[in-house]
Amino acid sequence: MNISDLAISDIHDGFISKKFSCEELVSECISNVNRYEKRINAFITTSFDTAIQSAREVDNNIAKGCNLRRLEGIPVVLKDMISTRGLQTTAGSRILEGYIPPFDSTVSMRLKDAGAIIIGKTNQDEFAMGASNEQSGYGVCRNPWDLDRVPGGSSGGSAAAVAARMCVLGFGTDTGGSIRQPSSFCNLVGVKPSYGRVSRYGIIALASSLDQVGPLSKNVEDCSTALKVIAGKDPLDATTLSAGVPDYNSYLGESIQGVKIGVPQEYFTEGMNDEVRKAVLEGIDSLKREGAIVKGISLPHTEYALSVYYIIMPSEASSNLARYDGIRFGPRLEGKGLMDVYLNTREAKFGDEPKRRILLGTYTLSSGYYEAYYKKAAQVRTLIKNDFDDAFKEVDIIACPVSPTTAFKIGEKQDPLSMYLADIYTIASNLAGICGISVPCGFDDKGLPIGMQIIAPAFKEEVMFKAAGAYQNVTDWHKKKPPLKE
Amino acid sequence: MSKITEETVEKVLYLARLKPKKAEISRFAKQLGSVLEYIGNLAKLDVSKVPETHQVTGISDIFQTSVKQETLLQEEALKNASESEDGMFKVKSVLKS
Repeated sequence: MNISDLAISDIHDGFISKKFSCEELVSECISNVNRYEKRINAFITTSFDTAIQSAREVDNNIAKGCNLRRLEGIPVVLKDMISTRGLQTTAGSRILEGYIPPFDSTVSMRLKDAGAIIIGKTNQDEFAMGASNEQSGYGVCRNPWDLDRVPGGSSGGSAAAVAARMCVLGFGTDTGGSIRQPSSFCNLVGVKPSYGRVSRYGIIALASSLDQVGPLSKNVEDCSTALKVIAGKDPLDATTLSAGVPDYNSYLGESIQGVKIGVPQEYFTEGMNDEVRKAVLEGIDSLKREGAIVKGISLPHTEYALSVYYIIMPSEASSNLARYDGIRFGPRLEGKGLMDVYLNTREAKFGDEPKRRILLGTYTLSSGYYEAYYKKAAQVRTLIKNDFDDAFKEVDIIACPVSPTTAFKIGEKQDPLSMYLADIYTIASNLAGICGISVPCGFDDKGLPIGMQIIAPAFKEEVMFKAAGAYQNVTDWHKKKPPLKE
Repeated sequence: MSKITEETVEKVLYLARLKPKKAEISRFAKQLGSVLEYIGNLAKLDVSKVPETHQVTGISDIFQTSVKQETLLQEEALKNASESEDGMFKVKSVLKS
């Protein structure tokens, strides 16, 4: 057993009992990066020198008998959407190459305050637009479980880095499934918190009414520990709620006797891989054996969720991406006049997927189409939200798959629409603002991980963690490691 | 939902300050067409009486207390600019001299 295989609480015990030092842990993660990074490409930027320096400070503090903060000495990686003061932040785009944020996002600030050690910024689909990490401006990231396959996306780099033990904890953003889907592809636990639970200050925006930051890790407990650190009201983000943040860890280990689990019929239709279906249904059976009450439910507007998402998300994105013009940050391509500077810079530095979504969003927002697309999508969004509100009157949580398939091959999905369909089971919770978690629930015949999704009402993360914890206590899928060779 | 012409694609992209090459335009026109066809399924729904949802938390009118706060220094704000002069971002002239 390596140190990086351990859960955060065990690492803290090891620090205190002097079984190993923080520097040993950080060095182990760095050596895993050095060993596998050439083939995986999980990082865009690394910060090894400051990480080692911080680790030594942690060791000094431990030697002095200082109390350990929640994430003291834990090596973490951040998706490159998350602004880090003094450390390059690109959002996976060449249009932000070389951009060094002069400020920290609230998330990175809270992580630093909790003692976490940032060892690098991870690869992702450009501006979080993708479900495979193939749309990165910095090269494809590969899945540690099978290097010919995608790690999922858009937080693929963080998922790959945690799976390959290049860190202990990863952070991503989830606008339509970008934490949960790579977690399921890489056999990790990944959380999309309720909208308003985690500050978006300093998070590069994709779609502002949908984006949330969340953790990815090897087990439920590490995720609940991490969420406790980053969640809560932030005066710098007016959309964060002041509701107190529960001690999520205290819900792990609680019985789920009598907890009502809804299984939406619309999520188990055609198009889902049989092995995924089987594994998720078996997962639900395990919860039933632990005392949960399982009942079928209906989310009748499910078939419209993807359409609503692919109007609202690009509309917001096209507006958010207007600020990249080569003037205040990022590289600039010269031209005859100011207009040519804009055109040349944006044309050369944006990749295909941002251009497609800018096109789609500008189109659906344009005069004459606004009512048919954007307004209508906002109305159907109400129906989707109502579906969940109604369902949660009958059940406490919803269990379903994360993704219709396991990790697909690099290059397999050439058509953008087929890539968009990869998020079919995750986007509705973003539209409704509720929370969801992906937990490992089995493997297909190729040895690729499968994830089960547990969805809970907004600001009921503790219920989601309780169910996920109960499931993890009776299964050991999450303990399996990818078969990486030197 | 209408079919998307290459002229429309070029015009919309120009409005968004993008200047694609010919091959790109025809590819995007096809791809946009197939996405619009897919999202056309919304036309089936009558939502004339349904209110719009633009945000899900239900909170509104959030104000910040007006207190002195630390802000970025001018040099920090300018550090990432490709060009600056006299403490300002420098751009090409917009008005003819």
